[in-house]
Amino acid sequence: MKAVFFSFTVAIALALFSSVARASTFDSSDGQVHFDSDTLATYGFEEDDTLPAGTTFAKWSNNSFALTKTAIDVDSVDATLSSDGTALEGKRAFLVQNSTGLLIDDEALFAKVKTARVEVSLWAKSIGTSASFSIGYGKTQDAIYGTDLPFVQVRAIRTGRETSDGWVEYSSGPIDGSVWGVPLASIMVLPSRSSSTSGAVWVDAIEVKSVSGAITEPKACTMATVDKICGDGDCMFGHCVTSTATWGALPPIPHRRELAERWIKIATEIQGDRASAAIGSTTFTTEARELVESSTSSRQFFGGMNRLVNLLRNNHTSFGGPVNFTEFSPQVAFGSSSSLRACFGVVEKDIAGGGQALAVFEAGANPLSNVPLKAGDLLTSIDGRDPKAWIDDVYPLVATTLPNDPLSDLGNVSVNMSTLVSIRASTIVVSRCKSATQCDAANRTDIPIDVASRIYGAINGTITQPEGQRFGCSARFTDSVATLNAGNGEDPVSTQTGASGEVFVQFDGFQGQGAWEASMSSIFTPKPAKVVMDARMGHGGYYSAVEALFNLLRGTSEPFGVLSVGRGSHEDADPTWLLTTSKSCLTAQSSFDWSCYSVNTNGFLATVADPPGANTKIAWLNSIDVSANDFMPRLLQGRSKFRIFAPHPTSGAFGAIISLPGMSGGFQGGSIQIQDSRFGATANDVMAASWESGHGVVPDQVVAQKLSDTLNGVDTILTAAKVWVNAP
Amino acid sequence: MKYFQFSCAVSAVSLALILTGCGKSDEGSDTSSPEEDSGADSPKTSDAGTTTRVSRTLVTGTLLPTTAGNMLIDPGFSLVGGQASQGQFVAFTGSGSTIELSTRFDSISPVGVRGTSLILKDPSATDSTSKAVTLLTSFVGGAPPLAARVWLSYSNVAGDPLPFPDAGIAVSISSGKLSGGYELQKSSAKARVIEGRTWVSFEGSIATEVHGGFFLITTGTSGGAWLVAAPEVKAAEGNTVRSDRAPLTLRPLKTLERDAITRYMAIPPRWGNARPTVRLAE
Repeated sequence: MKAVFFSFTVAIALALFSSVARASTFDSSDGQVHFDSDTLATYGFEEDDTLPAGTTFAKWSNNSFALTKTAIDVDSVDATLSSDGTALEGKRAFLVQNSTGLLIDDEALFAKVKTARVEVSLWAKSIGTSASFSIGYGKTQDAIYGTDLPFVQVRAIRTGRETSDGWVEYSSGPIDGSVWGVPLASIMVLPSRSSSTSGAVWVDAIEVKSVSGAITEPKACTMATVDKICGDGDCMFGHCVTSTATWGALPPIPHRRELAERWIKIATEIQGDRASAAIGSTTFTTEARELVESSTSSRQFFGGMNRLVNLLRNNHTSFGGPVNFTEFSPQVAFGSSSSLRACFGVVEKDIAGGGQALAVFEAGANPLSNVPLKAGDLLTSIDGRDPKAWIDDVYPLVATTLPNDPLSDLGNVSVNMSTLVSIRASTIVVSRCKSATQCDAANRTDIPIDVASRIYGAINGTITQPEGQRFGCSARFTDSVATLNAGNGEDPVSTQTGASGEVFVQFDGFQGQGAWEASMSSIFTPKPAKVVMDARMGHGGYYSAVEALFNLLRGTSEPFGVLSVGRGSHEDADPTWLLTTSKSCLTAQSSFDWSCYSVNTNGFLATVADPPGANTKIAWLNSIDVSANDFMPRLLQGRSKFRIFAPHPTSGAFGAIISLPGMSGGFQGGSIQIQDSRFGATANDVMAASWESGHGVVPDQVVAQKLSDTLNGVDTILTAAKVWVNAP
Repeated sequence: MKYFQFSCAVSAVSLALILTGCGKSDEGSDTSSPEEDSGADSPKTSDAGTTTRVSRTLVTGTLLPTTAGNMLIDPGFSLVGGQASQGQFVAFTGSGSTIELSTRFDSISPVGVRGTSLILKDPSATDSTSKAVTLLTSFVGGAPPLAARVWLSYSNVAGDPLPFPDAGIAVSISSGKLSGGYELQKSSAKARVIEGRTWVSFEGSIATEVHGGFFLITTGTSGGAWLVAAPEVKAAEGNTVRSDRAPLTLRPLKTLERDAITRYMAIPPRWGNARPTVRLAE
């Protein structure tokens, strides 16, 4: 018994070591918090206290990431203090009110702890509005939302200690006194950007304590060596960095437990994708609970949860992520040409041994990596590993979501590849072909690129960023139309008539209503003979837009339809009555039909006798396609005169998506799919079909951009589509 | 640095909302589940597992607004104001207009800092008249027994707390499969006065399965505004209905409820890619 007790105590001590810890002491005899004796600094706002010389009031500017800072003086700071008995420590507390907070710049303290670890804690009490508490890093005060953004920003989170009258303790957890040589610059006590102008937040007992252990040195690392080299740290730009800079503070175990249990509930009993929910109830549940107990850093916990949610394999499901406007944002949210100043796409290595790989689709001059790339350069190694193996290990950790169908992984990651490599790899090798006809092993030149050291230098200011802009990445090797329309709030639909009379239509998705549907109607109402629909960057959209296009292209002579159905219940996704109840939803409903409402169902079968586009020969181009861009090709596949051209299946996310609230301090919410779908020609066929989520729409003609065509500037997929659509 | 006394009276002049902070605070945030009776006089447990006699005690704060098993997606109302979708709270007037909702963040309320309280108010309301408003969200539902609860508080249109009225608000859980609703009961015994504001729990147990559920709150026409906190529907602890509480009985849906559900279901489904929402937790 004694041994068990001892072990338990040790476990708690270890767990608290890296997560947010309890700081100042609450005295139950007087209901006050008292600073601990071993603090490095305290700010209690008492009568005889002084605030550091650099301290300023701060207010968010309208419509910008900037703070308006005002020097404090005796009178102005006095007006922000309350001594009405509310204070938790001493007699006075600071009031965040009138949208104004405080930036504490304790230059002497920050210099003193530059090579040490500290923890910043405070207590706050909100009445009607909210505030945020962060620690900012920067070489000057301009980095704290002045002319620049913080080099690193760590948000203080709740420790779990509260008082019965509403005081809540927040802590940064253990943080480094400097990150990559950049020191602490400010303790930020600010109104939330979205906070109301009325209300106020009391702040008291700000305390800075020393924490044992060394700061994270920027040692060279890779994602494979991060645990060994960086310990609890993270690895970005090829160098170790404290995990608080990337994923934020590590919540205390009880809060981690709640977060994991909530996600288990979501993944198993709210998730509508039946294949994903099955994963949720097995590996996800087990591993999430293990992660709670085993994590000693936010990288391990939040990165681990992000990975587990991604491995639910639903492209509508996302964990969310920390709001991090610094270089150390841990996830790949928006792909661009990044430091390589190049974009990758999926290619068929027709002149280099066969198989699919990633190669440069587009490149610009003057990359930060110092090695200009060319279209056709094959990505052959990342950190000494096969690129696909590296992607499979690393991308789930840092992606915001993954496709349902693993067969579409390579395409999905392709547009994010330059960013992914820039933030999470150290070295890459690209292979350059001798010519468009010679690219076997003897006719390729390997070009190693030290990505990390150049970016690390640029972030540290030892390397100057070269001239030129980043550009967005696309799965299209070339556009199908010469002039692209603007969207005016909806997905633009651009058209052009080809030399053989075929109509090219380029659009990314179905985020459109009136204007979008009118555009599609205007294309098909004249009953064109041949159309190439280029949807290679298909990000989904509205159910109504899918149904509208379906009714232009497929009628009752070639019947088909879809039924999207929510879960039967939290405990049982598919009770026996579910489909019986849902069946009637395939037909037009009355204004109040419980049978459809009760199972969150919508669907349709072909109803138009003679749609204008029913006889149009349609070549449909896919690459990175999800959601509505899963539904539409699935609904049209099998129709006569219709063929899908793509290098791989679509994502396979067949259901409606909803947003989830943010659940942890400083994290934005994720999302989840709440339905699954089945397809068929008749209502009975639909009832007999299987759930569709989990695998994407397989192309009728598997065609990827050929490496040889890439070198010649030819769009292989578009060419194949044109050949087919113009054939007799 | 010398500071002058910043009195409660001074703060009240500049900031009416802070006035509530000048009263005696005797209760912290409620984190009990709908099953638990945690009456207004129950002292909070200190870290050491003992209770103290001083007015301020140390309590343990949880992460989430309600329990992890809540069937409602957004009990902390952090999605309010975003693009409407299933699972999100939306409000309509009787005429069908969507109401722009807002929230407030208070350390001491039934939800505390784990979420926000929603302000439910007809935009044209006065302190004595208003249009009826229905707030609702959808949830999947599940097997019985279920436990449901929400905390409500009443204010004038300016937001100043008022005594909780005897009538003027109804909370119900609809079940799609049964085409009816269960009306939660006001639990006056659990009323809490927190810094001058009275919070009342509406709760109940449901002994039949609920499928395609809606959680609905319908206000009356007597004006003022309501605060809504910590709504929850969950499987009852131990899968049993409390012996001291009779299960709620099914009643027909009211016209306002039915109309609101019809409008809610007209929210177009999104078949888009997963984009993180921009609203932050806390």
